[in-house]
Amino acid sequence: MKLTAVKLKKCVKIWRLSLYNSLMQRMAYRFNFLLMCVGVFLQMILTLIFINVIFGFIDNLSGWTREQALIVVASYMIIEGLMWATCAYLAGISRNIRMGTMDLILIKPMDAQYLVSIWRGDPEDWVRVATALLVFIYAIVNLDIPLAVVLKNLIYYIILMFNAYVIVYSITLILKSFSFWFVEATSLNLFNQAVTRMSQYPTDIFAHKIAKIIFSTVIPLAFIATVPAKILIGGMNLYLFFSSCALAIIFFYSSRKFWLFALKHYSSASS
Amino acid sequence: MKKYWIIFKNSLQTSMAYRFNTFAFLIAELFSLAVIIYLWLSIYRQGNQIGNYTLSSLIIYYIFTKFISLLINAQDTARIIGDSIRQGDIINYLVKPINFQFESFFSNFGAVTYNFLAYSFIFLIILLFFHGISINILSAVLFILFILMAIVINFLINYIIGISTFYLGFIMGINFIMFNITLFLSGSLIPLDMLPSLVYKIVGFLPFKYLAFVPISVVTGKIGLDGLMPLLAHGLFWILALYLVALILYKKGLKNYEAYGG
Repeated sequence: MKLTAVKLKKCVKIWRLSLYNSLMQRMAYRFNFLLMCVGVFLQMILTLIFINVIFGFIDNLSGWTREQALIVVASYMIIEGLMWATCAYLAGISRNIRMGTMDLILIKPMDAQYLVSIWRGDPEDWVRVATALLVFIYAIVNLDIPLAVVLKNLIYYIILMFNAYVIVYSITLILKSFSFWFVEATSLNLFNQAVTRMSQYPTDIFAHKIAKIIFSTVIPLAFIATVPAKILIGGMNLYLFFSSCALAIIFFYSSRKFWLFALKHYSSASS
Repeated sequence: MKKYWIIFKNSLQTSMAYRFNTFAFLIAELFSLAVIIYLWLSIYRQGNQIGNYTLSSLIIYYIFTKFISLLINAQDTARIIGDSIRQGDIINYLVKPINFQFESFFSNFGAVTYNFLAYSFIFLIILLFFHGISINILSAVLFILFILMAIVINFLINYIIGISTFYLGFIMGINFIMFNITLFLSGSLIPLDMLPSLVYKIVGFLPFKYLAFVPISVVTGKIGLDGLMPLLAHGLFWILALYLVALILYKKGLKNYEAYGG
């Protein structure tokens, strides 16, 4: 028990240091960091403009009103922002394998998956999380849900968002693990983004039965933003809640196994 | 000219070496295309008419935006140029009898050509699947002409961002901002004529519309023959203006360049 506590403490310390290092790296080019923050903010604004243009023509999107849809959008932004702010190094796995710099991670006396996950966090993406929270608050206020109900559902929402974070992390890790087989696989980032960005709209837009099954199980997009938003707005749904928990566990376990399997195929590119 | 032909060929061959990337890029774009189609299907199912667009014309619009995006964004030119300045690799070009701007352009054009060869057939099939448009020879020729204009304008914008490294030191931030601005103002996110009329007029003066909205409007017949000449002249004006800006920034930047690294 004591050993686990020491290990955990070490993990937290390394994570804190890696976040600090990431911030220092960005601060080396302060003006660039400022521009990165502006860029992230701009990206959020453009997404909101897009949503507004759509709702300029319609009253609801597959049953979701503008404010309800905004909660889905904000939930997705929070998850995306947290992923970049904490696990940005995952996006660089391909490049590091190609350049041989992955060795620097693998030779360290710590779990390689943990280090690969937390080695870099993009501090500008906290702007994404903050903007998303503002959108979230704006949408909640305009939904006219009693505060007591919001606070009660918020607890379920936070648990579901944690599950969503684990699911997105696992999908990203599985996809990036393919980099061990392909020399140049930077396009996996785009592929990963394309897949996860599908969840920024209510998944009810995928009207076909097959699409619904795929996006609830194989690629559980529905559980990234739509399900947390649904439960926040409409209250607890035990089936969706436990499905989300089960999927998070299954995906995390699978990603761990797949990462270890992929790691066996690593051949260093460095001298 | 032979040396640039070799640069073009090298870039084409390099792109061919990473076939998995080609496949993954295509799948990624098809995924995001599917989302857009589902989104608009869901909107049109309610019996709405969005602007001047029918559902099928909107789907065709987005198919074209994906195709054009795959072509013109074949290479991250701004980042490549920025890295080469920041890390000092640009010195390798300065000591050779090669024009750096032309070298960058032909390298970019090689990657664009590869993407054209790799993706055009697939997108043609997708267009046919959605009962696409009837393209006659004239509109096809005009489309290619405006696509070439899009490639040049996109290159010049990215080149300017890239050589901003002389002044900013690191261009990741400005590159990210320009990526988002371009995405929106080119009409890749929303057709520009869906925007409020005042915004549409302002955006109409900028060069970004040539990166998606104009080529698509030409091939879908939204712009008649009488509207082509002013568009061509306007596009050529922007090419000239961007070229001059690039030239000035490059010359001034090079004067103060300390050539670290290399």
